Amino acid sequence: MSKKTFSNLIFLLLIPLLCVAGLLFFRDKLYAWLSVGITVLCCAGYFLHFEGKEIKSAQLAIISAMTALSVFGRMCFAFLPGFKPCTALVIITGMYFGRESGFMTGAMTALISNFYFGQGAWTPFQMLVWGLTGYAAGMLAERLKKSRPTLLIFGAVSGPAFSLIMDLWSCIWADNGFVPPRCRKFFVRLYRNDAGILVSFKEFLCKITENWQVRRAQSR
Amino acid sequence: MRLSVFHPVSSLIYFAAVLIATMFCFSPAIQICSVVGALLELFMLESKREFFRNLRFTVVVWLAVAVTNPLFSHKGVTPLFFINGRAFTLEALLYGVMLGGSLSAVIMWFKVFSKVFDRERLLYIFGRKTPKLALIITMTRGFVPKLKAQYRRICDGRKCSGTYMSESRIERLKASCGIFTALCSSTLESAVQTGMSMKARGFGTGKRSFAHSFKFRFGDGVFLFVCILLFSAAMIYSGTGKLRADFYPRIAVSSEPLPMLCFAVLCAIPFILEVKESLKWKFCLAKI
Repeated sequence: MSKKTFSNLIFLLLIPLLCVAGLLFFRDKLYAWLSVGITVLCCAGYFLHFEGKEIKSAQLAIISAMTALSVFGRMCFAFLPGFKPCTALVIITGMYFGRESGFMTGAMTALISNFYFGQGAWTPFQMLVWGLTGYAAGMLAERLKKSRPTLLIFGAVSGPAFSLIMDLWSCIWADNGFVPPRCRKFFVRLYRNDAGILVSFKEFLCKITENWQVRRAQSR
Repeated sequence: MRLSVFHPVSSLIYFAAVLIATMFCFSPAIQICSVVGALLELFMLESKREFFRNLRFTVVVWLAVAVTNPLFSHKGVTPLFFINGRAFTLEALLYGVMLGGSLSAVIMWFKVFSKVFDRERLLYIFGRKTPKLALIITMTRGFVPKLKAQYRRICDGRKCSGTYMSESRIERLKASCGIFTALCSSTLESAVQTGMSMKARGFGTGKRSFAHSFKFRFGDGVFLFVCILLFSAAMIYSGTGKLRADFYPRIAVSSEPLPMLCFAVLCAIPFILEVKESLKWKFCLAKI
C-alpha cells in the first residue's frame, strides 16, 4: 500500500469510524476513547511510513541504542522525580540523526520504558508527544546545532510542554472534559517540577552535545 | 490450555477486548468484574510476595484517586462535609472510587499482559508488517540489561580510582551524570559496531525469516470466537444504555445481570483456565 492511500485511509475512513464507534458504545467516555484511538492511529501511521523507507542497519542500531539509553536514564535517575534525561536524548537524536530517528526514538522510549514503569492508556500519548519532540528537533536541526541558546530554549520549552500535554490528557481522561480545579492543581504541580526538568535539560544537553562535538572534531 | 498457550493473535485480541471495555465503559459493574478478574489471574501467575506488593501499590493508587476526586469536583447533591466552604460530596467520592478502580484494573491487566506476552510473541505480532519496528524493540530490550551491567562497571571503576559516591543528593546526581555521559559514548560506539557488523553479514539483502512455532489451532479459534461473542454482547448492552452509571447530580446505576455476566465470564476466562490446568496437574500426580 502506498503512503498516500494509507494516510487517506486513516483520515477518511478509520478516524470517522472511531468517532461513530465512540458515539455508539462509549458515550460517557467519548473524549478518552477518541483521544486514545486517534493517537494510536497516528503512531501506527507513522510506523508504517517508517517501514516503507530505506534505512541503513547502522541507523537502526543507533536508534535502538539511543532508546535504550533514555529508557535506562529514566530508571537510573528515578531517585530524583522530574529529573530525566529522556527528552534531552530524544532531542539530540532528532538533531543529529534526522527527524525519523528522532520520532522513532521518542516513541520507542515511551513504549519500552513503560514496560518497566507500567503501561496504561497514557502510553500512546507519551509516544506521540515524545515522538513529535524528536521530529521537531530534527526539523530545526540546523538552527539548533548552530547556536547553543536556541538549543537550550528548545529544550526548556519542550520538556514542560511534554508534562503539560500529559496533564491535559489526564484531565480529559478523568472528567471527560475540563474541570478547572483539577487543571489548576496539575499546573501547580507542573511548575514545582519544572525546576528539576530544566536543570536536567541544561545538564544533559550541554554535556552530551559537548562530548559529541569534541568527538566529531577528533574523528576528523 | 492456559492463556499463555494460545496463539498470539487470539490472546492479543482477548487483552484488547478486556482493556477497551475496562477503560472506556462507564459502569461500576464492568470495573468490579475487571478488577476481580485481573486480581485472580495475577494471584495465579505471580509469587505470593510479588502479588501482595502489587496489590498494595494498586490499593494506594485507588485510594489516592478516590480521595482526591471530591477535592476537585463539587458537583452532587449529598455533601458529606465542607472544606474551605466547598462541599465534599458523596457522588464525587464514588465517582473517584470508580475512576481509581478503572485505573488500577488497567494497570493490573497490563501486568498480566506483560507476564503472558513475552518477547517472542511481541516479535511475532510486530514482525510481519513492521519488521524494523520489531527489530528496534528487541534490540532495545536487549541493550537495557547490558547498559545496567556497563553502568555498574563504570561505577566500580570510579570507586577504584578514588571518586566515591557520597550520600548527599547533589553529589550523587553529579556522579550519576558523569557516569551517564560516559555510558552514552561507550554505548554509541558499540551501536555503530553492531550496525557495521549487521551490514557485513548482509542485513536487508535477503527475505526475512522467522523462527517461531505458533500455529493457529482449533482451540485458538474457539477461544477467539467466545471472546468476540462475549465482548460484543457486553458492548451492545452498554451501547443501549443497559450498563451505565450517572453520578452527577444524583447516582443512578443501571446494571442488568445478563450483560454483567457476559463481561464477568470474559474477565474470568484466564483464571478458569489456570484452575482447570492446575486441577488436571494435581489429578495426574494423584494417578502416578
